[in-house]
Amino acid sequence: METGCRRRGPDDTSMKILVCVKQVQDTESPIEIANGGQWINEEGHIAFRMNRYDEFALEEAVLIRESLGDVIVDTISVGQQRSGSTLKKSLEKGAANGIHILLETTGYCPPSLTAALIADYARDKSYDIILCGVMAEDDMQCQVGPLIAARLGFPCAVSVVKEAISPDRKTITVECELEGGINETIALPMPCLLTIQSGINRPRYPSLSNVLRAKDQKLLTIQANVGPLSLKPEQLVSISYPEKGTKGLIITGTAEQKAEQLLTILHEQSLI
Amino acid sequence: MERILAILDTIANKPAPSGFELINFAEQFADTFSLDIQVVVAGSSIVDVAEKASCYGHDVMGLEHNSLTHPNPDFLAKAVIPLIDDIKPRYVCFQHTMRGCQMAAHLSARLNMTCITAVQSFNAVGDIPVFRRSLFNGKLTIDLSPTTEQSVLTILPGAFAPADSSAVPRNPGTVVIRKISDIDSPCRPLSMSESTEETVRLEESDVIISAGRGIGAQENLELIREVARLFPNSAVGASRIICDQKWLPYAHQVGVTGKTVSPRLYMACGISGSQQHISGMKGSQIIVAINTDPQAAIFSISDYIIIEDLKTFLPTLMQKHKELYK
Repeated sequence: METGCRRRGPDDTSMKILVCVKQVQDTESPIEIANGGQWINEEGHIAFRMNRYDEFALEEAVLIRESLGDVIVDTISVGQQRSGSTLKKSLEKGAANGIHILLETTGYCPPSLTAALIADYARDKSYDIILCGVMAEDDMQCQVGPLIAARLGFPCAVSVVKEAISPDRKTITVECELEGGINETIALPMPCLLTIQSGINRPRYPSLSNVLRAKDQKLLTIQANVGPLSLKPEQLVSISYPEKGTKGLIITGTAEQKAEQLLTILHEQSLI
Repeated sequence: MERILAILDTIANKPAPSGFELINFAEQFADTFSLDIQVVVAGSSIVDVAEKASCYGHDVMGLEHNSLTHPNPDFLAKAVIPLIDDIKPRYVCFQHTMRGCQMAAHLSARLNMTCITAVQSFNAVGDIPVFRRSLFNGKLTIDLSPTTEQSVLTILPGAFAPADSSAVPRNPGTVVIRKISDIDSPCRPLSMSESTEETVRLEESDVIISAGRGIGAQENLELIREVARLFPNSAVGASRIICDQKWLPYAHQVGVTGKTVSPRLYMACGISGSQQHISGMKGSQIIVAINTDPQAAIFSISDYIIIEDLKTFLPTLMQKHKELYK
C-alpha cells in the first residue's frame, strides 16, 4: 500500500515531474566585486540565462512527457525577481507551470537554502520525479539536487546520462556517468531525484506556440519563507579576484612566426 | 585529539584515480589544526585497498557490504552516519566527484553540518579554517567558513597532489575491517560499463592535445590528431562540449567530470576554459593555449598564449614542423 501523501484521486493518474532551474550569469559577462568584498555588482551589463545543465534536465522531462503522454512538467527556481525570466524560458521550452520562490536578498546564496526552499514547496505536491542539472555552471557546488533528496527522503542518483522508466511506472533505471567515460547502471524506485549530466539529449529551441503561450502565462510566485528553516550554512568571509599566476607569454607575429616560436619552445623543452 | 575523517573514493574495490590526493589534503589540514586522521574506504572486498591506504601512516577503517561492489553513494552515506555518531569527527572530507558531492550533501542535510565544496586551498584565522574555492566560472574566488561544530568538505581533484607514502618513513596505520549490516537504501547498482575506448590513456600520456568548441566541426579533429602524432606518448583530449556532441567518446574528456591530468605538455586548442575543465588540467607542467578570443579564461593559466584560429594555425604548425624538424 502506498503511503498517504502519495495517494491521489481516481482520475489523477498522471505523472508529475519537477525540474529545478537556476539563473546564472552568462559566462561572457564581466564581473566586478562590490559591497565591500561581500558580493558583486549586479547592475549594468550582466546577461543572465538558464544554467546549461538545467536545460538538459528540462529537455529530459519534456522527452519523458512526449514518450508517456500524461505527464505534467513543472519548473521551479529560487531567486530574485530577475529569475522569473529564466522560468519564462522554461515555459517556452515546454514546461507547463513555472514556480518562482522569490528570495529578495542579494549576495551569496548557500545551496542548503535553495534546497530547503524547494524541498518545502515540493513536499506535499506528489512529484514522481524531481530533476536537477548535475551542477550549476557558475559555482559547481553539485549540492542542491542531493540536498533536496535528503530532505524529502527520496532516493537519488547523480550525473545521469540515460534513463528508462519501467512500464508500471514504479522504478527508473538510470546510467550514471563516473569520471573517465565509465557508466554505472542503477535502479531506483520512484519517487526519486535525478541530477542530469550534459549530453543526455539535445535541448530544443522554443517552439513558436510555446513562446506565445509563455508570454501570457503567469508564474506562480511564492515569497521565500526563510525564518523557520533553522539552517546553519557556510559563512562568506570575502570574495576576491583570483591571484594571477606568472603571466603567460603571448606569442606574437605572423601565424608562421608564431608556429616557429612555439616549435622552438617545445624543442627547447625536449618535447619534440 | 579531534579527528578528520577522509572518505576515499573507490570504484569496484579499487581506489579512484585521484583518491590519494585526499590524504595529502587531510595531512596538511590536520597539521594546521592539530587533528588526527581517520581514513575510510568502502567496498565489497576492501582489505587490499585498506592496507594500501594504511601505508601513509594513518588508521584505516574498511567498510564492507555486498551492496558496495559498485559505487553506491546513497548506501555509503547512510552507512557512515553511525560512524560519525560514534567517533564524532570535527571534519568529514570527500573528493569533489559527483558521488562525493552526493554523499557530502546527504550528510550535511541529515546531520545539519555546514558543507563547503570544491575546496582548492585553506587558511587558518585563529583556530577557524577559511576555505577557498572558485566562483563564477573561475572569475572570482570566495572564502567560506563553517558555522557548525562538525562540517563536511569536498576537495577539488587536482588541487592537492597525491600523498607520497615514500616521502618520509612511516609506520603503517592500523587497519580495521567492519562488516556493515543492511541499510535501508533503495538504490540498486546493477552493473558498470567498461570505458568504450580502452586505448585512451590520458593520465599516462606525456603530451595531451585537447580540442574544444573552437574546432567548429568534427572533421577538424583530424588536425588535433595530426598534431598529437608529432609527440611520442601523446593523446587526444577534449572539453565536455566535444563529447556532448558525440564527436569523441567521454573517455577523452578532461575536467572534473572527466579525467584530471597533469602531463608535461597540455595544448588547449579552441578551449575557452570553463572552471570544470580548468580544474582538470591546471596541474600540467606546460600549458599552451590557442584561441581566437583574447579574453578566453584558459589564457589566465597558460604559459604560452597564441591568439589564432586553430583551423588555420594547426596546419601552419604542421607545415613548419615538416620544414624545420624533418
